[in-house]
Amino acid sequence: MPRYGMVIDLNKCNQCEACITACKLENNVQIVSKENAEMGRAMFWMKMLDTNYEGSYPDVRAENVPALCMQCDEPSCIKVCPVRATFKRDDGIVAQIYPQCIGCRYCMANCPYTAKVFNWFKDEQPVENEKCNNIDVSVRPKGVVEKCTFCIHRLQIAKEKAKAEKREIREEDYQPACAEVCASKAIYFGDLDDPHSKVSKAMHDYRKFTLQEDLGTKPKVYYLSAKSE
Amino acid sequence: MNGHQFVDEDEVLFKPIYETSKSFYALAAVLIAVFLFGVVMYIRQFMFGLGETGMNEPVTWGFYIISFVFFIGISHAGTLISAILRLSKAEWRRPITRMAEVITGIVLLIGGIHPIIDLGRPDRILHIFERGRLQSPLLWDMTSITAYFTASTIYLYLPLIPDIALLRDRGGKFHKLYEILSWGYQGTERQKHVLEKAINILMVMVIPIAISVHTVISWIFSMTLQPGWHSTIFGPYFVVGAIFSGIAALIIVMIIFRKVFHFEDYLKNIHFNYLGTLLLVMSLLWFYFTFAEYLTTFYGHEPPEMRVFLYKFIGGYAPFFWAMVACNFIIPVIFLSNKKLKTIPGILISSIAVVIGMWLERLIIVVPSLANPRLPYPTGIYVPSLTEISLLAAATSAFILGFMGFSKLFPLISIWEIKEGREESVKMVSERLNEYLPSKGHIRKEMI
Amino acid sequence: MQINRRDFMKLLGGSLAGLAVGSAAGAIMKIPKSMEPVLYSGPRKETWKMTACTMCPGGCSLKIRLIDNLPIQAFGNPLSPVNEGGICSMGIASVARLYHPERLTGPMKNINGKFVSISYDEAYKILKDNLSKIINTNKQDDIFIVAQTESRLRSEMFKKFSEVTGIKNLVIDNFKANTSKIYKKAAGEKPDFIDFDKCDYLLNFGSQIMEVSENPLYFTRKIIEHRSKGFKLAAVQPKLTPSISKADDWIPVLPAAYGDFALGIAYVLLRDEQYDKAFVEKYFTGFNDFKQFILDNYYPDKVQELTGVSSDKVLEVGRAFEKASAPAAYFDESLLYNSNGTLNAMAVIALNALKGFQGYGNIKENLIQSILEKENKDNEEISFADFRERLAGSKPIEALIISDSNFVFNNTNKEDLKKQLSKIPFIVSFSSFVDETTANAHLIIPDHDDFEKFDLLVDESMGMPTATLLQPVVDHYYNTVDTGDVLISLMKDLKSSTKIPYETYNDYIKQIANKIYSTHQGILMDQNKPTVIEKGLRKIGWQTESYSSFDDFWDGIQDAGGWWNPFADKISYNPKVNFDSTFSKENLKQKKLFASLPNKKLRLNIFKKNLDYKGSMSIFPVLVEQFGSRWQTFYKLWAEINPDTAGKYSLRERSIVFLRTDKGKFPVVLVYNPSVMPGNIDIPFGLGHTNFGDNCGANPLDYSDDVFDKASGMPSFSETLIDLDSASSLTAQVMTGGMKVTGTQNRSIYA
Repeated sequence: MPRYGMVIDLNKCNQCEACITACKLENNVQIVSKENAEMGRAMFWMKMLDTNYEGSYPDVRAENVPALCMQCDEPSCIKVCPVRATFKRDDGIVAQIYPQCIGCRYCMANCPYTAKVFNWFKDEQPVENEKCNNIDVSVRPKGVVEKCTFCIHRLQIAKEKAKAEKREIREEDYQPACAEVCASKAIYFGDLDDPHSKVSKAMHDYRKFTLQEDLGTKPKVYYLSAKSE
Repeated sequence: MNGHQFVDEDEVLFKPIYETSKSFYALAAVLIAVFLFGVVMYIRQFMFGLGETGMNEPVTWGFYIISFVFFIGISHAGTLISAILRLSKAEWRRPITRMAEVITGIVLLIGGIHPIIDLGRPDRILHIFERGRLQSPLLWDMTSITAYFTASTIYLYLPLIPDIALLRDRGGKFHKLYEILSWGYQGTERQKHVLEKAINILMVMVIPIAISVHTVISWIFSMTLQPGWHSTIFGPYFVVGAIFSGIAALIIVMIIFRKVFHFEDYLKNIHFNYLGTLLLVMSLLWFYFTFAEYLTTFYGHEPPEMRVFLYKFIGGYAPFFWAMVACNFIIPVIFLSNKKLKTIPGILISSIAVVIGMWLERLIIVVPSLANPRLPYPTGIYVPSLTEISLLAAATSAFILGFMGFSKLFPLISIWEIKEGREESVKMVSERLNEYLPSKGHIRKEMI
Repeated sequence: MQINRRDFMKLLGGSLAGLAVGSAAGAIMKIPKSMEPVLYSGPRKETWKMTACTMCPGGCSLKIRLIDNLPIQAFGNPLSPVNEGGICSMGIASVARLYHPERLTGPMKNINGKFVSISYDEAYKILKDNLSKIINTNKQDDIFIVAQTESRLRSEMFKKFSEVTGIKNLVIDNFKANTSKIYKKAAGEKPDFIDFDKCDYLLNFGSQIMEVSENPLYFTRKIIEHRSKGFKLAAVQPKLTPSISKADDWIPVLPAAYGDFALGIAYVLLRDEQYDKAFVEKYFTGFNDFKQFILDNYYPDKVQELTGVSSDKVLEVGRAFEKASAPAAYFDESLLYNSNGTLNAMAVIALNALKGFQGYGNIKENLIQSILEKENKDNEEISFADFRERLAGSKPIEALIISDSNFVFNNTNKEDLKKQLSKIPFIVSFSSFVDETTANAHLIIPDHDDFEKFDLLVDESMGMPTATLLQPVVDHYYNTVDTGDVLISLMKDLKSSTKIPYETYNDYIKQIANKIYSTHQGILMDQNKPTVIEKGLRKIGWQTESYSSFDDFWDGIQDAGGWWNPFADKISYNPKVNFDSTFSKENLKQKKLFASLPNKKLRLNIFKKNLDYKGSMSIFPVLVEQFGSRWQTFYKLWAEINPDTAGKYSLRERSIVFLRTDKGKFPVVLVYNPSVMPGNIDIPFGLGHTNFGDNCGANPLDYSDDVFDKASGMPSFSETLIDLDSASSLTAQVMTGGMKVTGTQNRSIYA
């Protein structure tokens, strides 16, 4: 069984935010109304964390970290879910079952990465975006929690395809949208346990770190940054 | 027997059931209006989604969870106090227990409904039964609250039976209801004995259940990784806070009914004096826990914890935090430790302060932790919407309405216990005292 | 590779048909009425089509995902050597433009201030009659064309049109054209590309090289790739943009003082005698005067005074530049957005000349260049400055043709421009939206959407000729007409004597493609990354083409997304440079810009973000939402300020302040950012549309002084002084919608 994970090379990332747009459109993530966005209800499965500035002017360095669901190996969100609406799959992806979620938001309160978002209202996309919704992904109803799923629908399609071709699923068959569009090729994605995959090679780097390492959630999204030593 | 000609020595206790003033109806109308407005607002929320509230990301829990913890906390007033007082055979308990138990019943119902109001998909509530995960603290919570509710309503009901029998015997309105509810209680020795036994069993049972309920509620928070929540002290801290707010609520209720229904003969200064002392003790205990909690946080000085700490002490929630300290510690200590100020108005003021302060404490616990997540993510101040405020108002009016309704059906002070006290207490207490006290004049032979 | 990919697509389509049920229904039901039958009974077949993106000058190749022949998503074309599968936010979002509710569905006529729908024939007749009336009286000089198109072939079409009809006043507001105009003055022609194989030090002047530039995705890849090999990127600009935060060195220079800094570096080179003497002797006309002038006037202390960069830093950067074996000083259109724009650009060219343009290269026998030159007989187009001058002047303009340019929004003197436009008796616009500029038009003949038309994006900024095909992924929904076709018809009708060798714009594109084909150079994009052996075989004349006829080639180019020639030989770029009297005391009597700030005033420094290109963002809800998301300022204008500056004015983070200029005041959310130059307030450009798309926020240009580069006509983005008015806390509360977001004080993510 593969163990899917991601490596984001911050030294390569040029913070163009294309991953954020791609994620948003790939997964039909709601564009909430202006009032709601201003209230802090904007929905992003992938977002930039607040810029971290080091030094004082004019020797300032800024570091921006694109963050998504960390797909923890020891996810704190699934521990508290009262109805098994979020669970860890065998391949390591922490999935959400939207029709099962009762909307108690306990998992959001317990996510140390604030990676989850809630559908405060029913889907209210602008019409031009609704017309180009991705048909592989369901639009979530109001009142449920959602988050990055490593574009799990793409895995589904890749599996079907591999089955039709009577072969094993290949690394390039299944890439989430953020990794696909990344212009600086800073996002590696694949099977962490496969020693030949690009992602596991990228992972074995002295620059590697994860967010909130000390919490023991064992994220499967790794970052590479020369500043982390 | 004709009920209305029957004159009892405790007639004043029956009076509220048979006589209703105009102002009662006026107040009820206002409260029902407030309640219905809350219902309408909830229906709106149900239809349009939780967006009607002021919650956002990262502050995903707001007024509803605060109210939930707060009301469940108040519920401890009741049963726990009455059970402890009963268990310790404190004679002054007799006029208090009933009101305390009623608080528990009503407030538990109100508090227990709040998590459902807070759900994004209340239509899927049955999923908890179909595919509930017992590993989730929310499920423990549900279990313990339902157990507590069951236990405390029975505990309210059992001591009510003799009084219902009295009411039944008086005839008049709701005759049928009383007949059913009194289970044919006639006050025979055997019935008395069985009832007492049942009450004794329940009061022992209710104490651990009550403590577990609030401990489990605290675990909802402390089982998470949120800074400011993840603390071992939370269980006892919540229980102490709950009893603290419960006593305060009880005092307020007592003072109001004393005034309205002229219970001055039954609720005397000594009761308030004792309860006031208890409130003072709880206030000190609460302060001790709060101090211990924040001092350890401060000395640990972990960055995420400190963000929450500073947010409470000097940041956006500082006004609420210091108001809480004033309400929960400074005001009660000033009023209750000073003989001159420890009068009924003084006790009322400090009780009201404590109830407000404990509500603020729940706010201080729930919001700042969520508003300061671990990752660099913008923090936010949570501002409740009209929906949430009206639902809080509706919950409060439901509480008052519940009490008003109860007062029209059942006596607010346990009549049979008062009677029993009058008849037997003095004898019982002096016997008991004789047991405690060292005997005078007799020097035992063995000792020589 | 080829077979695999096709198989892949077929298979994907097939397997998806089964998958795409249920969730799809809701999303798909809301497309144009005419398509509904397809939807209800459609097989949900997935197809992919390659096209190109024209949202910025980059010209990336797109891979469009279609379900039942309706485009729903855009990704980068992995076959394209330009973007290699990568794509930016604008490209990803671009599909939504096709379905935008405000898109014009057909030609419109302005009747008493209201746009009324008319038929194309009627619209064309109005256009033709109006133009022929003017042309027949030989008043072509009273007609102006303003065309903003990132496609060079489309601008060629405009040039052809201007040549045939004799309308000399053609303004091509095109990213590459704007830069090459400067080069044309100083060095004759623009270098084709930055030679990343040689270049080891890139001094970037003001360009958002990795965000919106000539070829941002290619530059991004190359910079990252070569950095591990010792390549250094230094950025000279007042704003630490996100991508520049990855540069090796950031030199914050006062706004509009780029040129002074470049000359400061030149001083170091000249003083150290480390310039390319051979080159200078051969190609640099008037070098000695230049040298003397620089040595006299641009000593480091002076430069420190002019630019705000410490003299030590000037020396440090200068030494790094002179030590590099093939340094390149780079600028693009962004440099022109200040009143010294052209002068600054000249200074950068001069700096390059001192090092013999070693970081740059040209393509030997540049195919594209030769094709374009054959098409275009050296027709000098005018600059936007000339247009501005004429608009403001007394000589009337009889007719104005606008294509895609929203110059009213993009300029500082919006109200003046509107007034001046209202005097023109006939304005025709080819825009798809009623934007701020088009709102003044009398006639609108909307162009096809990019996904409904053909074009070929030719480029050589990668060091090899590339041609990315823009092709219709869908038949045009509405009653729109390709602007190229309109121009061709007009040419025929207005000058029936001239023979036009093509019937439609598609024909024209096909002919260009045929020319590329007939040279038998290069390969299709599906042969990505040729091997060394392949390259060697090519050199000795072997052909490895996968096509045998033009039809094959045309099919192939449609499937692969384009053509490129990785075998093109590179030659060094050795232009003859001549600055005449550009660098002389008289000419450089610049305004001493903000070297010292007047009391209680701050500088308004407007910066561009990568989600917006020339005000095009407002029609994409997803981009508008994302615009301020990193600062949690949704749908609002924010201003970045240095905490020290804020402290001086006792301004709290996240508070709402009003910025007041001579033209009025506007509210912003104040965001602390330690990388902002003290005394500056950095404000993003892109919000504040009034006519189309999302109208949130404010356009800081509306409040800026009307200062612009006299030579190029580009508005200044950074030369306005502002006062701060702190709003009352109540207003602040109302304006933040109840939620007061407090910022984070440098939290470490590693904690």
